[in-house]
Amino acid sequence: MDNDYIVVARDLHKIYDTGKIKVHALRGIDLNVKRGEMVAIMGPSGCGKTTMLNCLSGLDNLTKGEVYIEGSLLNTMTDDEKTEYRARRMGFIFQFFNLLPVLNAVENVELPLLVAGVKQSEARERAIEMLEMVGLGDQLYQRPAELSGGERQRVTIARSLVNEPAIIWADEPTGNLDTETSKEIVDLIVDLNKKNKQTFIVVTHDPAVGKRMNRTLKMESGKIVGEEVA
Amino acid sequence: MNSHFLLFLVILILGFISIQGIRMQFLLKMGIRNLKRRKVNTLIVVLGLMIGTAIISGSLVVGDTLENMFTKGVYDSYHETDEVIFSFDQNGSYAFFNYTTYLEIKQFAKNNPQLSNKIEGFSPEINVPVSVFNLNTKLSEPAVTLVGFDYNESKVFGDFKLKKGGTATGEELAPDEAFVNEMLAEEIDLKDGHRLMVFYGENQSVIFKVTVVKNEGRALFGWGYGIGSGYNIFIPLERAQTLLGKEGKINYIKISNVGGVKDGMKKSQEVEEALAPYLYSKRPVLLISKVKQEAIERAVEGSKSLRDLFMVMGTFTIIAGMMLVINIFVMLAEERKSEMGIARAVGMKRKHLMYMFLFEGTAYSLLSALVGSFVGLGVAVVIIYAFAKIFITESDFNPMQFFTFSVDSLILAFCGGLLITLFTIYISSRKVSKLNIIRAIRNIPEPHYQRHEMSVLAPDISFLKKLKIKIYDLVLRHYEILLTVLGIFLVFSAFVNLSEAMYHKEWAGYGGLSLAIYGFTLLLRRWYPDKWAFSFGGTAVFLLWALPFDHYQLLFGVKMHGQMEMFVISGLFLVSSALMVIMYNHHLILNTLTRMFGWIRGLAPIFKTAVSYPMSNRFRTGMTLAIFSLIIFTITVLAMIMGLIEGNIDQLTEEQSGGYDLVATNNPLTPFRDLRKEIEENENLSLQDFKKIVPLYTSFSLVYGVSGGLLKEKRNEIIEKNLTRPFGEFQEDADWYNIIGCTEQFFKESDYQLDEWNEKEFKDYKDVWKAVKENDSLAIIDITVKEREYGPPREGLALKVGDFVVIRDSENHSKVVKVVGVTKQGIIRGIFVNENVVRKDLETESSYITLFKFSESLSSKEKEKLAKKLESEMVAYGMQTFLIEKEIRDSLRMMKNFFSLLESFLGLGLVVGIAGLGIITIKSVTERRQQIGMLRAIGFRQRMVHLSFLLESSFIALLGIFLGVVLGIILSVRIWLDGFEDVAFVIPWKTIIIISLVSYFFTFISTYGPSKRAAKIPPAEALRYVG
Repeated sequence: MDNDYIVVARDLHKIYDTGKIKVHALRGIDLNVKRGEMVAIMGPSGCGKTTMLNCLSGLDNLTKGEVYIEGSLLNTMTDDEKTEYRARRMGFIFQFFNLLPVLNAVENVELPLLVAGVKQSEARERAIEMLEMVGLGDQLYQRPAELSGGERQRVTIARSLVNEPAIIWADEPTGNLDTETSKEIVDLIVDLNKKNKQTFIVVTHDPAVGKRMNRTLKMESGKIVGEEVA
Repeated sequence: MNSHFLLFLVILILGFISIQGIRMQFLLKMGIRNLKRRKVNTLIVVLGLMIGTAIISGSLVVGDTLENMFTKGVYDSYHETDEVIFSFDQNGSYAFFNYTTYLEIKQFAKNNPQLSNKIEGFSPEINVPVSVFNLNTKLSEPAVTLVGFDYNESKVFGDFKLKKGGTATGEELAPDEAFVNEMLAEEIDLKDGHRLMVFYGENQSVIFKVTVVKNEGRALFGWGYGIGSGYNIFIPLERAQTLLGKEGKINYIKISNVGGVKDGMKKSQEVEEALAPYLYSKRPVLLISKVKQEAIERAVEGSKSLRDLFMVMGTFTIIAGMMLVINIFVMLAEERKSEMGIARAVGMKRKHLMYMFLFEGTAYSLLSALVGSFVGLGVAVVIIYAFAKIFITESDFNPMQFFTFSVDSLILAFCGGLLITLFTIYISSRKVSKLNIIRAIRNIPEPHYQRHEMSVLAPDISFLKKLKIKIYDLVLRHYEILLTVLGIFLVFSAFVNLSEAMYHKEWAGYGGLSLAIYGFTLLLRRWYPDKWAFSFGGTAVFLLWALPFDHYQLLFGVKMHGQMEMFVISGLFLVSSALMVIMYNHHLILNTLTRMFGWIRGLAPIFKTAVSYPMSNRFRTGMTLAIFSLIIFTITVLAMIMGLIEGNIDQLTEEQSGGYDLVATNNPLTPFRDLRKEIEENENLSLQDFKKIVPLYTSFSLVYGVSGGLLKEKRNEIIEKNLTRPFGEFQEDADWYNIIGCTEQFFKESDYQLDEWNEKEFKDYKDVWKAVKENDSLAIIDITVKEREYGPPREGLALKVGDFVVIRDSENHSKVVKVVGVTKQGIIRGIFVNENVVRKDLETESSYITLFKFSESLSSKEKEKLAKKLESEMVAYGMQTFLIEKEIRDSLRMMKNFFSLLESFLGLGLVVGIAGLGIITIKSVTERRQQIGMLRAIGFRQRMVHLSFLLESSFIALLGIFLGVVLGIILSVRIWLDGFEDVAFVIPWKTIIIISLVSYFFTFISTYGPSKRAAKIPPAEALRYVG
């Protein structure tokens, strides 16, 4: 397998079985993503973008097909192995930020490091560094409820990057933000990609976000129907 | 409280709510619909709300049943008898007087218009203590009453009912025949036709052929609550007179009032008042006692105090139940937040939301108060069964024959429970109706309010605003100041003794100061962060209640004492203050935990989430913590007190025993002349088994206390007056008590420690005994008649060191002694004086109390056997033995079982706490679905999520348990310093650990399932979940 590819997916199928009806959410997806690449996944609501992201990142199980991340076959990993892998090599950014409301910014950011077994003092240091990097150096101890939408998303980004992952999955990172803030967030992602050479796979509705990525995949009814390279 | 008043209040409130319901029918429908929509929720809420009512109803029904049990005994025992006339002999038995005196009394009553329509009949009798021996079964009983009755004179008291069937008047009894009641028959296995030997005087005995009569009517006299064992033998009066050599004499007259068994005693007061002066003019002076009425009062008092004890203990559970309800309601509101936001957005006012909840809540309250009142009956049944098992030794005793409840009790429980829940729901409704529409619709958490959270407690009197009255604003904006002022007022009232008449001084002083500090704390929040304000207030109040008692005396001039209600109040303040400090300083706990366990890989983030979640929801967590700590606190204090007593049993025995093993009493009519010789000559007993045999001279006399604090002249005047005033006048203000004449041998061989003496006068307690030995005018009293320093005054005789005691006996001998000490023991009840006082001043040579010390080589079992043997060998003297250590251990065991019963009763509160935590965990899992997804995404394994939820509930439960145990120990230290300081401080770790583990185990069980489900949620599914 080509070592340049960080994500390789072959014939991905995902069927949701709700008992009465079966929903074929992914219908044979083939995908290669290069290390350090920024890929946008676009398409109408319900076309399977988030499902694909979840399946590729190991958050959800496949019905059929194979996913290789950094050469390792995700399908055969146990739940614990996948979790461990996520903790060490992956970062996540969500539309609704999904920060823990009971922790302040720095505690939210240091959480993945603590999960990965980093010492408390070191974790705190790295979390502060990361928050400073995303421009929140003066709001380290604010709780999510005390931050604006853009600031919250910056905390999410800091959290997704703090364990220096190889790959970052972002599900509608600007979906809950105004145009101005969206632009700032995308600028930040692009900057970080340039600086750290990390791979970003971004699900988005926003063509403006798509344009800033290296490549845009178009999805319809569970299939990739087109590709645009910037 | 009056049930009718409560019922009126309930009707008034429900009427108001109903009118509002009719005015706002759509809200009523919406509110009620929620009940049907969420059946499980409804069930949980009703169960939670029910607890309070069930506790009230349970306690009241326990009271009703015990009252029935106790009073039934009294009614059965006295039956037709309402008053009795008698006089005491020097030895405590009834003094004889002429039969003609009885006839005079009867005539007096007949001629007296105040008495003739109240008295139905008399029964002139002889009542003497005897001991008996069943010649057929060889069983004996030392304490029996031989009753000589005059059937013709006492027909209103009814006939005897024979056990074999039929009735008898007793006149048909042959000279060698007697009736015995079933009570005695069962004790020594007597059957019809058995031969019973009766010892009735010095070297005097007679044999009767017996017929057993049922325990009914006059046959049961002398049995029942606080009365006696009721073992009776009946023979015709003339036969008794001949037997005892008392021809033409009697010593007891029973009076039956008009009105039957229950209502006759209502006339007792009038009968006594009309008859007493006449009786005082007789020689010997005759006394009249309203036996039935007084015994009924004691029985009712006894049942009431037990009822109150259960009620006070139940207070914690009631409060716990209220907290659970507030918790559930707030959670219900959080769950419906967005739908409530939408309702507000489309035009509903805050008032409407409140009413919607209020309607829903009223329906819950009605349902639960109804269910709770009846569940309380079940709780009562369990308590009564346990109570009977602990205190009643008869194995076939069925307490349910006494089970009863009054409609009043049920109404009281229903109304009380309903009002408590309505109040709780009103507070909850006001709290939840305060929401920001946008935040509610978007389901964004409410920001922290710096001030006015307390305003949810303020009544809605907004209509006053329209009248331009500023009370509402005043209450709302300045509640902190009002609370402070109220507290200061209470403290002030304690200082100037204003409170004494209205409420306990301790209450006012301590409670007031605490309230003032809390008010000030809330005031501080205007300028300082919550954390500082609450840490200050919490610490101050905590120290106030946790430091030893002495500083209270310093502040308020009186000693602080642990009465029952203070137990509840101190519990509430200790727990609330400690919680305040903890809730605002939880980072210290987190840091400690992280430092202790954070090095274990993966535990640091789990601790972080497990501690941060509960601590960020201070209200919910605080309430749950309070439930746990309050209950565990109470159980710990009970266990600690029991532990203190149990752990010091040897010391207790030593104090009570004075160096003896056994106290024996004998029939005063058959005194020992030389017990040592008696034992020596008895072939079944060996003198070698006894190390010491110490008889005490005893006289049963009238005792009148004169305070030592009076001026000498005044005191002497009172003493003088009481030495000469007519005997009969003492009836109301003096008591009959044992005067114990201590012999040389007693002074030499005993070691009775003293509880109190004048330390300026005597260097130690032995010095006090020495003084009594040398000085005939000094005395030592036993602790049971020591005047109480606090609480309600002791009924009857109450003396203290320094008091003077006027002693007068029925032969008109007298003596004045000064109290110089109080013994620690209360087994031998009497006033200890030099033997000269009894022998020379009171001219009595009789002895009916003997102390024994067994040979040290005897084991406990052998001592028990010997005590029994002594009783049976000395049956002719009516000897009854009291093995000191065994009796102490037996009563301790009884007390321990009773404490266990109370602990189980409190356990109901723990069920509330555990159920509450279970519910919170279930709700948390739903609320935090997305966050669970995120945690899984960033690397939380399934078991980490599971552990995080489990740790979260465990954290609350364990912190609550820990807090309860620590606070319980702190209060126990105070109790120890107050009342047990001379015994070793013991912490019953085993009991505390068991209670803690059991509580935690059930919490773990109740939260394990929901936590596991949280962990099993697939991360992708959790992330997709929206609200």
